[in-house]
Amino acid sequence: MKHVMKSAIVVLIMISGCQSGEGNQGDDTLVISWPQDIGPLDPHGYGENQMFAQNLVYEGLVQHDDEGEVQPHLAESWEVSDDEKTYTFFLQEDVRFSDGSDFNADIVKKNFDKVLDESEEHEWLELTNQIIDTEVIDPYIFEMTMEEPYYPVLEELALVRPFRISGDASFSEDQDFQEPIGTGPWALSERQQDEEAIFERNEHYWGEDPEMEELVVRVIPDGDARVMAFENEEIDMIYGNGLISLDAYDHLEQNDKYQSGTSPPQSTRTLALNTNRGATEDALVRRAIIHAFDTQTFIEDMLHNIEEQATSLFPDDMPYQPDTLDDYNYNPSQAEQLLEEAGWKRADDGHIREKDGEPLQLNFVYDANDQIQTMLAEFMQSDLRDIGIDIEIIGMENQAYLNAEKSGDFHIIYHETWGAEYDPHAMLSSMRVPSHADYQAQQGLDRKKALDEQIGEVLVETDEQKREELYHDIITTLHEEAIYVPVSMTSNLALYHNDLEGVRYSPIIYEFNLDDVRRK
Amino acid sequence: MIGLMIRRLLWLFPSLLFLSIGVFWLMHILPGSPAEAYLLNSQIPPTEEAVDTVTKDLGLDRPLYEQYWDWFTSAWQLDFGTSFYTGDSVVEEVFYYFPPTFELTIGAFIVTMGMSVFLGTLAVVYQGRWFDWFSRLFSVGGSALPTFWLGFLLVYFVSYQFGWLPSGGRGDWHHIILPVLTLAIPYISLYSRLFRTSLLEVRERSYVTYARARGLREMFLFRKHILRHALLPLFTVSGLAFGYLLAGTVIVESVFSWPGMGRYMVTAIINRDYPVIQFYIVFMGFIFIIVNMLVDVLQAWVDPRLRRQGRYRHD
Repeated sequence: MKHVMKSAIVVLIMISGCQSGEGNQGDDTLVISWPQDIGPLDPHGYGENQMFAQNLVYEGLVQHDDEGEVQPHLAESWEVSDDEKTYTFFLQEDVRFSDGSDFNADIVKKNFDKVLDESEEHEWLELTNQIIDTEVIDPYIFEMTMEEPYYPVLEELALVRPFRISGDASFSEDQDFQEPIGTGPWALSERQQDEEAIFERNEHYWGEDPEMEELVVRVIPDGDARVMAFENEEIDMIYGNGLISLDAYDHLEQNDKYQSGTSPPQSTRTLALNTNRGATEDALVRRAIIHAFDTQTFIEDMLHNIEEQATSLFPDDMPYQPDTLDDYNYNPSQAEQLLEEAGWKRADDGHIREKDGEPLQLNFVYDANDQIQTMLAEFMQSDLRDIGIDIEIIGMENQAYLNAEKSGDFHIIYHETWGAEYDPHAMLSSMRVPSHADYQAQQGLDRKKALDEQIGEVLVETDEQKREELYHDIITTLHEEAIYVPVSMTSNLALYHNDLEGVRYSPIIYEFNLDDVRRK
Repeated sequence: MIGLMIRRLLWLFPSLLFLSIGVFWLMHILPGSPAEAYLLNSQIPPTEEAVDTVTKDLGLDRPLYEQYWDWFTSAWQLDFGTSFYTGDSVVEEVFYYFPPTFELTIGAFIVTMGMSVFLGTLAVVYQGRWFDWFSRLFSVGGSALPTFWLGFLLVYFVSYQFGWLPSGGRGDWHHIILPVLTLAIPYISLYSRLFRTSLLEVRERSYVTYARARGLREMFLFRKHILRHALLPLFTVSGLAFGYLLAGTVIVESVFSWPGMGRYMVTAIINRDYPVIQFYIVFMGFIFIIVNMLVDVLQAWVDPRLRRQGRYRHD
């Protein structure tokens, strides 16, 4: 027995001797993690191609700055024709791809044409349906013409996909994607599928070089495993949305070995109330629900104050957001009063309100795999019970939840806005489509048809002032009809070891600003 | 013996056929569509037109029997289609992810069997003494711990507190120790007790008593007469154990960021990547059947009675 123990100890000592600190691979290397493989990095591809990684390698004619505003990027400037159908872009002349090849109007056209040739894949983005012609005017002047004046052109060109530009070497003879060559600050140097990807500084980069020489993205699918790897110094930084639980974030944030930060708000967590079903058809009931939900306590107790409170469907600093909206403050007695007004009375014996002998019962549909949605459902159930509404919470598997969104089979459903780069135009545009929870939830409004028409108008309205008025009108209607319970705003969260600095944040979810990160 | 193998091999085809039909049918009655999962993953709003386009692209708008027949006829030629998600050949992808999983499984299998025999023997040698009690405690604890918790415990102590081994990823031999242990410990605790019982039982048999009366040395007795017989029940379960280990890698791979098939499969299920799910199940069924056949053959080799009877009858 003794020699067994002895040999076990020897083995352990041998192992510990062999193990040299795995952690930081070097002072000039930044190690982060991601739940999935980054994919082959096709600039125009979806699915497995991870947007944050595409954004590291590829750039667009225009891009968002740290405030989320669209700025000139590979195009220095542009001109818009009087009919607002033709955009002429003047390209930067000193830009090269990571393989040393030239960036010019020809390669821009090649990329645009590829996207337009495969327009079926990209038709979700209105711009791909609008462009009818692309032209090279001069080696550094590129022009595109659209069918109609479509105002969100620049917004949509700034998106990570599909209109980013890849080099000639990215195209095979059949014009298929073959290797990731871009003009961005990082170039992919090695990818071991589902293990890690290594990016190196693009030596031909036209802008300011990233501080780190190398960026390693480790694939770690599990949130708790990610926390362990972080604490064990195997990764330098956790950066992104939903990568670890908010409990874990709260725990690590309080440790003085680490720094933390959050990006500006990106999208809104909200609950959509169905105007076309049961008791929520009545605007008074909907208003009562919003007043009865104690958002602030929910954020304090459940979200550890990590997310900001939302006051309406869209954040205040979003373009075209009216500043005249009244907040729905937390006020249970007002909620009870509204329910009384709507005819829902407390029964003599029961706690749950009734009207014409029917109890006030509603369902709440959410994705059961999402921890935050689950907490939200339970919290709401308890808040609404206080004012006499019985909530049945129905946690569903992800796909079933999506089906419920489409079919409108809910009274209350968890819902998120699309994020800064799509709001408000793309999100509002989707409200006209029956397969969306928004459409289903709004269907019971008398004004639904007029609302949809207004949304159609605003997207092609060329007069800035009229556009603003239309937007104000639409957003105010949605707010006053009490269709959405605003909850909180999601952000990218960052956690990093104390030896790092220079972490920047963007309101765009998949645009990670890692270029200035350096070791102190 | 050869007859046994041929019979088993012949059964392979109808088994796999039924398995594939069953999986195909089950996948299609699950709620959710691959088209929507694809769009969702791509951050593309799943409008009706977009879903229709992708559904048509993937050939999912055709009748079910037609889809199955297509799959079957190409599967017959060992073409198992392409992943809905990546567009790459399913076979190539599975073979990319299979080696790491196989590594884990083989490692865990060897450790499980070796440690079970070792600990089971020690428990018999020190029967009724503290080691026996300790091993009993270990077996209860080991089989009661959920795998992911065991994994995190090991990571917490071995990687984080002592810094001996990395917490995850695949690289040199350091990386495989913790996942293999996590996978093996529940089975060791189970099988070491099984082996202990079996040893105790065999030790009491009359031929052992006679052999001892003949004056054979304990060590010789143990190796030639006891061990071989006591191993039989372990052999029987080892085929199943291998299958369980292979399938059980799912959680371990997730905890240790091990790039294997388990994780690949879970992603495929979430994405409703039908061709991948279909091939994975059929492939696993194939391995399960083959391994169990090998176990039968091995058993027949160890136990001559089985060879003659052609079926298993213990004792």
